[in-house]
This record gives sequence, structure tokens and C-alpha cells, in this order.
Amino acid sequence: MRPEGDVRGPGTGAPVLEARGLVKVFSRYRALDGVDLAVHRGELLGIIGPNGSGKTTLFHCLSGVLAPSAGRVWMEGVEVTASPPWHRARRGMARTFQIPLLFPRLSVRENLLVAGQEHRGPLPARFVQWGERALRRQADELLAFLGLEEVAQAPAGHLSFGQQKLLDLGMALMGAPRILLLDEPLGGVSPALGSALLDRIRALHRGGLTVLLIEHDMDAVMELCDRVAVLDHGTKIAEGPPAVIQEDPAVLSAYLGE
Amino acid sequence: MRARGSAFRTGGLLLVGAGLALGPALWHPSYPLYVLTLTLVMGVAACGLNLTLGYGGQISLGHAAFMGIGAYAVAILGKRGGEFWPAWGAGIALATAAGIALGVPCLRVRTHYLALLTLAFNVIATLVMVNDEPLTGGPLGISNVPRPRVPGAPPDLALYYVTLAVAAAVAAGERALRASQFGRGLVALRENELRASTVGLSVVAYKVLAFALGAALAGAAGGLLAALTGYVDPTPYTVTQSFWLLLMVVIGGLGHSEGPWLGAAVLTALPEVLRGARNLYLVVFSLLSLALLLMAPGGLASLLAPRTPPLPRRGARLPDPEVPSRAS
Amino acid sequence: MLPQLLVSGIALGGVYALVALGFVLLWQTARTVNFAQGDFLTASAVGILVLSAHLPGLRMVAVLGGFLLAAVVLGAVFHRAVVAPLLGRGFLPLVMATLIVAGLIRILAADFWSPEPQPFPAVLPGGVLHVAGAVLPVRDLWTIGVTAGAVGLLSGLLRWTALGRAMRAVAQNRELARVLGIDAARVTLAAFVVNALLAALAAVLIAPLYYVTYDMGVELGLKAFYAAIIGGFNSLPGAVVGGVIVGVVETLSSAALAGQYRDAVVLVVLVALILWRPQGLLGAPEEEG
Repeated sequence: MRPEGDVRGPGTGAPVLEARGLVKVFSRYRALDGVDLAVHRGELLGIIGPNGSGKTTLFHCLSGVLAPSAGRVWMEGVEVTASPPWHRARRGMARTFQIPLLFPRLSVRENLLVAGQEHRGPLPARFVQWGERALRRQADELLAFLGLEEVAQAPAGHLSFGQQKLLDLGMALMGAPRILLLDEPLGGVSPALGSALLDRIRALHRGGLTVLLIEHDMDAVMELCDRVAVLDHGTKIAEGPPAVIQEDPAVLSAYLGE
Repeated sequence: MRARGSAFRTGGLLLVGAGLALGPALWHPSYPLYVLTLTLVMGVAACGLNLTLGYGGQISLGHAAFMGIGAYAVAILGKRGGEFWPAWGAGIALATAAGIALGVPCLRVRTHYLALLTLAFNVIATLVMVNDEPLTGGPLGISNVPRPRVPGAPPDLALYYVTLAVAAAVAAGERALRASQFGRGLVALRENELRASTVGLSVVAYKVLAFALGAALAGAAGGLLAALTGYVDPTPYTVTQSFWLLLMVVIGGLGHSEGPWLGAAVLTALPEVLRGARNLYLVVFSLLSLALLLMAPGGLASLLAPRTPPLPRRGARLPDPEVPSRAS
Repeated sequence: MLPQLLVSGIALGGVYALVALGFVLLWQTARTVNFAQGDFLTASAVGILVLSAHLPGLRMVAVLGGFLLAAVVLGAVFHRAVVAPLLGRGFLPLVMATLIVAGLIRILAADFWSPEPQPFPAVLPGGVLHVAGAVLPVRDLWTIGVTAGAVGLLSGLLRWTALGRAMRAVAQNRELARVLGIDAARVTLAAFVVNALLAALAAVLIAPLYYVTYDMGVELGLKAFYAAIIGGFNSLPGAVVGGVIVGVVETLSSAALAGQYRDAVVLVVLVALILWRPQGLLGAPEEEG
């Protein structure tokens, strides 16, 4: 399973994803208060922080699900601040969700096929089954990679929570993304499945995929990530290699002061 | 169970197909032929609505307006000396354009507001049909609508077979669409619009296309209806008729392939059957429709479809299975 | 001229507001869009006329009887027989069912009551009032007063009674309300009864102005639908505001524009408003999904 990615190594070249001064206000509540972020090719950047620090809101603004109140977002140097999610998806951004969002009445395989079909040519191509065979091959590979072959025909809504998380990941991968945003992939998942997920993420990272990861599981974060950024109350309070972050007093007080 | 149901279905379809193809040749000319043609025409329009509403998830309360556009195009161009076929094509193109024009602003709004915009469109279209006398002939409409001519065949039989061909093409096309990537994407869009968007599905384009296709089919049906009755006036294209189409689709089974055809058959044939009851027929008809709805809210087609087990409610999910950890 | 038009417009708007209120109430508490709303008005008017014919000289009794009948048949029976079985089985089947009921009312009225327009006795005092040079119809002023009173009563019901609180809870979050022990079915029934009473009241207010016909409910229902949307389908005050706006726009435009496209004015205003502000004037943007 070779996802797209440059194998030159992390930290080289223009940032795959960059954001400056992101602000998001809901009525009176400032979920994000001026966040800067840069993710470089091939690196695995972790986002951590106490509950309510704005991590998922950040993802929503980066992926286009929400429009930021202020600030800008670029993908490989091209501004995408006002682009809808599907536009960013076609430029190579993929994401998963805390609670997996799927197409419950479509089969597992169909979920994957839909997730991949829009990346192959414009809309009219959908009427002539453009690239369908290659699509199916890719879906089968992913089913194997994720260990979901047994349930390929089942409606996605019938899957267990952990299986749905795997499918969520699979759907994100179908588009051969340049950058993958993972929102708490290990949340609510059994330890066995969790470690299986970690294996996949590790494999993807090793294959050169750029990843942005929100997680609460500190062991996983420290082990996987090249760099870690810490959010608290909508601002970034620290950023650096995992070892440094672990010792940072500001980070510790943010978590303990909860 | 699946195989048996499928054989039953294929057998039934073949029977119906044979009946439709051969019956009229033996029957004609007669009132039943008119009713049958009318049923097929309404079936095409209902198919369009099913596409927009059942697959695309876009509420369209003004679908009869698109029929009206197709019908009046045929009548108006016919008045200027045009033949049926090019006028019909023009009507379809116009209806499609109207569908796109309506679809785009509708994307800004949801559910009941969408319902409102489509309703408003229908009301305004009816106002134009009634009031713009020089163009549309006002409340009295236009007569002497051109019919498709097939050399050697009596006109009503010719129209029937043309309609049958169109209906068959539409049914086959709809099947193909459902199986296509577009059809899959449309269902996904209905299931979870947010997720569809984040995997690259262009929400705007899909929805507008669903509208446009539905409008095109309605326009085609409208043109055929005009040819069938021989004249156009505003009555078959009002809001009431839009609701009639909606009822067809809902009773037939929203989102199912057979739905619109079943609905069209029931709602076109039933009034004819009940015609003997004179005044009471509308009351009986309403009560019957209500009963149908109460018994099968998912439509008649849902009674015929293979049973899919319902999705588990939240919280009642299966536990995670043991997934082998792959060393890589 | 203008003050009189305004007063008439507001009075008409008040009637629309009552019907629109019912719409929004049913939507909020029972997720039902009742397309038979306008025809409920017709049914109430016809009911009162029929009772009046059988009870000569006892007009108020007939009116009260009409209200009672409305509450029972258009409220409770309608809820039990038509709505309850279809709730949760999809939005459209329920909408279609209400449409069929609407058609049924029309057919029954036309065939079994009268296909011809019939007059409705005035319940409110007539005459005119001279205020600062303007000539204001007393009936319109009374209509505004009665409507305001009804709206006030409804607000009071919702804010200060246990039932009203339960209704608001169900409207906000049905599941949570059920978990908290609120009987959603009882609340829904109450909503339908209130709705029927609102329709009956609107009938009594508007029927004397126009003749009662079997299809008077069609346009009235449609306009009330527009009013509810303008105000924001999830806002009760919005329904009142929307109703008044529709009433005023309609009265002013029928005075200014001759026949023909005047109906279109309300529609155009409406469409423009929805495109500019999709949630209506006072509505809150609905949650996605």
C-alpha cells in the first residue's frame, strides 16, 4: 500500500498545509483565537490540548467545513481559505472525524468507491464509469490493508464503532491524499483495534504521507509524531518535538489546570 | 429468497412489457388506449420527480411547471408551423434550462425554504400561462398541437408507441444512472452531505444536475401530454398538479426504480375505475390514497422490495472484533 | 387612505398570523407541515354555518359548538387517525396525507354542503371610527384586538403553564424531553387541538369579510404558509410578524396594482427575502443534517 507522498524526508520544501491567524468566533465564544500552523511534507504533526481547546474547530477551518472568522489557509502555496471542502479534497486533503461520518446504507465497498471516484476526472466522467476498474482495485487493496474484507458487502451502518473508524480512514485514503487530517482516530476504540489503527498510521507515515493528527492518547502521540503543537483556549501555547513538549511547564499547567 | 423474488420480478416485468407492446395494437382506437398513454406520460414525469426528490433529496413542489414549459413549447412552436420533434426537443431544452436556473438559488436554502421556492416558481409560471395571452393564449390556451407522425400508422397508436419508447428509454436510463458513479454519488450525498463534500464530491454540481435531469424528464412528458390531448391550457400545470405528481411518487415509493411507474398507474387508472361512482369517486379516491399511505408510508414499491434489515440504533452496536495487528 | 389600508392590512395579517402560528406550532412540536391548515379554516366556517342552520337564533351556541367540533375532529381525530401513525415514517408521507385531507375537506364541502359561496354572519361589531381625519373600519380594529388577545393567550399558555413548558421542551429537543418524562404524545395532541382552535378563530374573523366557499382555504393556507416562512419557520413571534407583513403587502398591492400580477408581489417579496436571509426574519438557522 503506497500512498502518495514525497520520500525526501520531513521538513523539506514549502508547507503542504499552512494557516495564519485563524480565528473562529461562535456568537460570543472564541473557539480559535489566532492560530498559526505549518505542516511540512512527510511530517507527522500532532495537535494536542485539553478538551475545548479548539482542536476540532481548527480541523474544520483547515478542511473547509467551517469558514474562519479571520485568517487564511494555503495548500502548497495556493490559498484555499474560501474553498468548499470538496475543492480542498480534490487538491489532496483528506480527513477523518471524531465520530466516523459514513454513508450508512451504502456497503463498505461502495463507501470506498464513492470516496475515490471524484478524484478521477470531472463530473461528466461519472456518467461513463470513468476509471471504475482501477477504482475497484484500489478499494480492494484498501479493504485488505484495513482488514475489512469480511464486511465489504455489509451496509456501513451495521459496522462496529471500531470498524467504522477503519472505514473512515479508508475513505480518506481512497483519494490518494497529499495530506491526511486525523481527528482522534483512537477515540472510543478497543485496545486491539487501536493498536491495529496505529500500525496503519505508522505504515502510512513511513510511506511518506503527510499527517496532521489530533489525539488524546499521549503515548501514541509521543511515539508517532515528529512535532507536536499544543492548543489551549483557542491559541497555540507550545510547539516542538515530543520530548520537549512533554517537559514544557506551560503545557503541563494547561492540562492540570483543567 | 432473493433469487425467487428476483425471478418473480423479471417475470412480471416481461409480462407487463409484452402487454404494453402488443395490447394496444389489438385494442385501438379506444379510450383505454388514451388512459394507457396518459399513464406512461405521467410515469415519465414522475420519474423525473423521483430523480430530483427521491435520489437527489431536493424537494420540488413545482414540478408540474416544468411539464408546462415542455407542453407550451410544443404548442407555441406548433402554432408557428413547427413539427412535433424539434418542438419537443426545444421544450426539453427549455425545461432543463429552467431546472438549472431554479436549482442554483435553491442550493442556498434547505427543506421548507426549498419547498417554498419551487412552489413560488410554479405559481409564477401559472400566472404567466394565464395572463400572457399573446404568448400562451391565456386561460383558453392553444389548440391544434402537432403530433409525432409515423407514416402509415394511425395517429393515436403512433403517439402511444412513441410514448412507450420514451418510457422504456427513461426506465432503462434510470437504471443505468442508478448503477453509475453518478447515481452512487447522489445516494452518498443524500446519506451524508458533509462527508460527501469532504471526499471530493461537488455538492453544487450534483444537486443542480439532479434538478436539471428531473426537469428535463418533466419537460419531455409535458410535450407528450400536449400532443396527447391536442391542446394546452394552464390547468394540468398548476400547483395542484405538482402535488398530484408528488403523491404519485410517494404512493409509488420514493427513491425506488418502480415507484414512479406504480404511482402513475395507480393514480391515473384509479380515477378512471372509480368514474362510475360519480360524485363519490373523489371522496373514495382520497380515502383510498390515505389508506395506501397509512399502510405503506414507504410506498408500494417498498412492499415489493427485498427487506433490508434496519440500521442499528445508536448505542446498540456490535462489539469490536479481534483485528489482527499487521506488522509493517 | 393609507392609514385605513394599513389597518385593514394589519387586520388581515392578524388572521394570517393565527393560521401561521398554528403551522409553526405543529412544526415545532410535531415536526408536521400541515398543508390542510387553510382547509381547517374552511371546515370550521362550514361547521359553524351548518350548526347555525340547525340551531336558529342560537348563534353564539353554534359558534361555540363549531369551536368544540374543530377541536375534536380537526385536532384530536386528525392527530390520532392521520398524523400519529405516520410520524417518524418520513417527512413526505405525512405531508401527502395532510394534502389528501385538505382535498377531502374541499370535496366534502363542495358536494355535501354547498358548491356556491355562502355568507357568514358577522360576529364583530361593524361601523367606522373617525380618527385624525382617517376613516377606520371598526371591525378591523376589533380583529386586531382579538388576534392580539389570542396571541397573548397562547404566549401565556406557553410560558406560564406546565403544558406550555412541556410543549416548548418537546419543540426544542424531543428525545431529551421524553427522557425527562414528558409525555410527547400528550403534548402533540395538545398542539393539534390548539392549532384547530386557532383555525376556528381565524375562520370566525375572516369569513364575514369574504363569502364562505369550499375552496377558500387554498389561498388562505398558502398565504399563511408564506407568512410562517417569512417569519422563520421555527419562531412563533416570527409567524405573527410574517402574517402581518403578508397581510399588509397584500392589501397595499391590491390597492396599487390592478388584478393580474398582484399575487406575484407577495411571492416576489417572499422569494427575495428567503434568498437574502434563508432562515426567515426571526428564525434561527436550522442545524445541518
